[in-house]
Amino acid sequence: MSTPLTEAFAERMQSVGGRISYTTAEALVETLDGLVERDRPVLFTPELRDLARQLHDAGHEAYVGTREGVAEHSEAEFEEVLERAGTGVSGSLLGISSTGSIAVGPGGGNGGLLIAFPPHSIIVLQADSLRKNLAEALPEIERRFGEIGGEVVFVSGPSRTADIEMLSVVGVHGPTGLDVVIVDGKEA
Amino acid sequence: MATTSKRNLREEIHRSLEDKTLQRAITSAMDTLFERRKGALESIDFEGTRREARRLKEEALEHNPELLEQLIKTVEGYGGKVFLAKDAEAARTYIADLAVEKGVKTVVKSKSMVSEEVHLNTALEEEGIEVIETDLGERIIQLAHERPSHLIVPAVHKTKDQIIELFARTMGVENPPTEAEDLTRLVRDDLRPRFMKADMGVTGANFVLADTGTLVIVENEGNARLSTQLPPIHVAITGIEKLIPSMEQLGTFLELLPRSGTGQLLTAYVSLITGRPSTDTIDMGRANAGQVTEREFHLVLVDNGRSEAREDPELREALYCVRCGACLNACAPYNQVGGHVYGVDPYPGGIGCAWTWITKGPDSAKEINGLCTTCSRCTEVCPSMIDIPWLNTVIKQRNNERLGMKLRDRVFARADLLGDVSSPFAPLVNAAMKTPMAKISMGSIGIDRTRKMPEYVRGTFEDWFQERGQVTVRQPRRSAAMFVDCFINHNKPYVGEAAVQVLERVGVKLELAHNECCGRPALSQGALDKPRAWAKKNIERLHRLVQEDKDILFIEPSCLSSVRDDYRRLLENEGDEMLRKLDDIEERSWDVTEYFLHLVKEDKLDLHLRPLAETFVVHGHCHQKSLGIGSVPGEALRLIPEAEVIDVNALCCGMVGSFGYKEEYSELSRAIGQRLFDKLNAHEGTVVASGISCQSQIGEGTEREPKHPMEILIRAFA
Ligand code: SF4
Ligand code: SF4
Repeated sequence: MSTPLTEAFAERMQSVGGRISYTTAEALVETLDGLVERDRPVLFTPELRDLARQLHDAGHEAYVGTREGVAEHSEAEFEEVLERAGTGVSGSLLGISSTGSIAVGPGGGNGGLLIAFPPHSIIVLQADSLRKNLAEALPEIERRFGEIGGEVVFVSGPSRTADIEMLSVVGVHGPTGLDVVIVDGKEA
Repeated sequence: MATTSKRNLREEIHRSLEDKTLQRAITSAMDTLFERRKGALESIDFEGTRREARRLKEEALEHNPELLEQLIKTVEGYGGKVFLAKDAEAARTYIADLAVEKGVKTVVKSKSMVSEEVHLNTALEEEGIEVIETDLGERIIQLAHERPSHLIVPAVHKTKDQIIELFARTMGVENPPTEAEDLTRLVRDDLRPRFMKADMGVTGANFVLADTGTLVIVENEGNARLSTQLPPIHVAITGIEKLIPSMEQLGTFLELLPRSGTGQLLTAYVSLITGRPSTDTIDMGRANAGQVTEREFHLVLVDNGRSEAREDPELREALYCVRCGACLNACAPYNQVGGHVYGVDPYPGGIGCAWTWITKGPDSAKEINGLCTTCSRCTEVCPSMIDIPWLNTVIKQRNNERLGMKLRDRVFARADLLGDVSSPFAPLVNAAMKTPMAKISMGSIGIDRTRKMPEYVRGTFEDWFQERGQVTVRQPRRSAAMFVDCFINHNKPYVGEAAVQVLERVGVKLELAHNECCGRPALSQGALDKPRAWAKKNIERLHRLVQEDKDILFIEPSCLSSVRDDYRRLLENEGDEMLRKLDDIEERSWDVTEYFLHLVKEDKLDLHLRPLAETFVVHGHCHQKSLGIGSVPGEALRLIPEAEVIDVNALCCGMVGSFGYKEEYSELSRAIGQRLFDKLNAHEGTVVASGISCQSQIGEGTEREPKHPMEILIRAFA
């Protein structure tokens, strides 16, 4: 269901170059299947292990971005996979409507890497995890620090710079494209 | 780089002003940043939020030693190493030694002003280690062997064409692309493999949460993400003033920093890094892969003068800086000459002077101190409410104490005396000031001899007021006292006369405040003792008037700004009683035009003004803007039927008291003014400016005769 919170979130996210898709839990795999870069590895954070397997089964070269992956690759292979990866897919802790941001958790230590390294990034956001503003979101993150540990990254759009004559360029060291998939936001 | 040897500032300013490419690059970037910031602030209560941010910063700094202790325990608790570096050398040595010990060959760095402050790159390079700046702007600066010229846009002084040429020369690309996007991609592709093979990543931190040991890194490019996650060793270097107690305070700062800096609601990435990032080190076949099995984390907290500044009741203020750069974008001198003239080792602009004093010592700060005109424009935008002009005033005073005060500055400091001795002999003095002899002696003490000095008139504003005796105001609705400023009194009494007549028409019963000089002319030369004594007298005097239920009116916005902003600082240690009186006075203090407008609105006055079918081109005074009443002159003039009022939007007139008269700055002053003159000259009509020094500058630069709003209004009453 589209709510004022999701609408405001989507508007802000789109204004900084993020793309928004709405889907349901059941249709999520299908949605991802349509979004990921073809013919290049897709790396998932561990909490999305099941999705990785399903995409793997659907014929994608899909991995979980830790040492034990779905494809049982060795450590050396993981690095090679990372370098070739076209898309990184990560879950998220919550979204912030007023700033159009998503908090990405540690993802087995690689969450922050999977959203920053591959040229294309997909973040899955549960619609009911949207919060109004930073003031609502930060205490919740803080409460969950103990449980999640490691790092939390607020992502607001794909990486960008304006270091050359203030010209906005999307895609510097991080991804050039960011898709946010809002689950159970309906409209699928 | 700032050195202790004497710089020829005048020459450096001249060179910057001559460099048209530089001028274009800076002007357009500053305008963009200024506008974006304005847009982003619409979604929050800026004043309320920054008041809260200021309070939180003060509190955090107050408890800095305890927070440090707590942070060190926490970080060591999770296996990180903390190094408290007492100075720059300790900081760079620690990191260089660590790199050597771990066999590091390549370091990737994301943006960190503190690493610039301690000259980290040089120390690493001396050990034969390759250092790669990965922020695009910083990379450009590194390839060009320059220093960053802005806090958040380090290469702002470079045009795209210069960058294309630089890449061609330094990156071995024969035909570099010409679009910003492709140039960015070029750097991305060049740096990717370097990230992969780097043995150490160095980042800064915008905030550090003491209770959880969390680093907060605010960035857009994603290079801090990669610098913290790819190499097996992460070193974060930051100043000890960046500590805040916990997540509870963070929100307020995150609301302000990106909005103020880049005009974003939040930057693309805000990383909260707690503990050693997991041990999932990705072994990229690095040189030291065998030795490092777990990712290492080192936190280097740099003191380098900060503790001393914390104990300093006046400089302490500078430690609240969050390095957003908004003050630079608002600053007319910075806009005109760019960062490099400030020495940038590494902090530019008005705030940079205080930071240079703190981190490099008084001598380095000396040269750039005078570049701050104390116009106060930056205080409107600073998210930490730092009184940068006051910091510069204090530094000037300390330099005067250390090195003696220039004769010229002593002359400028006593505007009150000059007037008192000159007025009775006005024609003589005016003629004398124009003689070659006078011009030569002006020149010899460092006053630009091509400047026209303000002319004196015989008979002061005070004389006029006394001589006209008792005046009956019809239907008096308010009583008020006029604060008499030195320049109106001696040089432009007719402005005061117009103000009196306008206010009497709207039912204000007036008297003179019989005040001392507000102190600003002396303050802006860094002389604090006299102004302090005057301030005390003025407070007693004005407070008595307030107790008699009178409002206090200021014709010159700079005097009002002195009383409202500077007195509090001057009298900080004079006891609560004095400050309470100041509170009472502030509540009843008004700019004359503001007061007029207030009465008209509040009492719903029907003025029956005479139509004036003319155009008025209004320049807003910097101090009116910093007092939040920038729109008042335009609004007041719009009450006149048939008047066409145009508000021009310029940073500053460039004169600011005596700044424009000083020979080393007069070229800069005129260059700042020129931007205003061009805007004013785009319109026919009467130029309106509330400040006396704005009027001189505009008069000289446009050969038009600017009027105070009161001089226009009185015509509409006739
Ligand atoms: S007071 Fe004016 S001149 Fe000084 S730093 Fe601020 S804006 Fe610049
Ligand atoms: S002084 Fe204020 S405006 Fe300037 S950089 Fe620091 S925090 Fe920002």
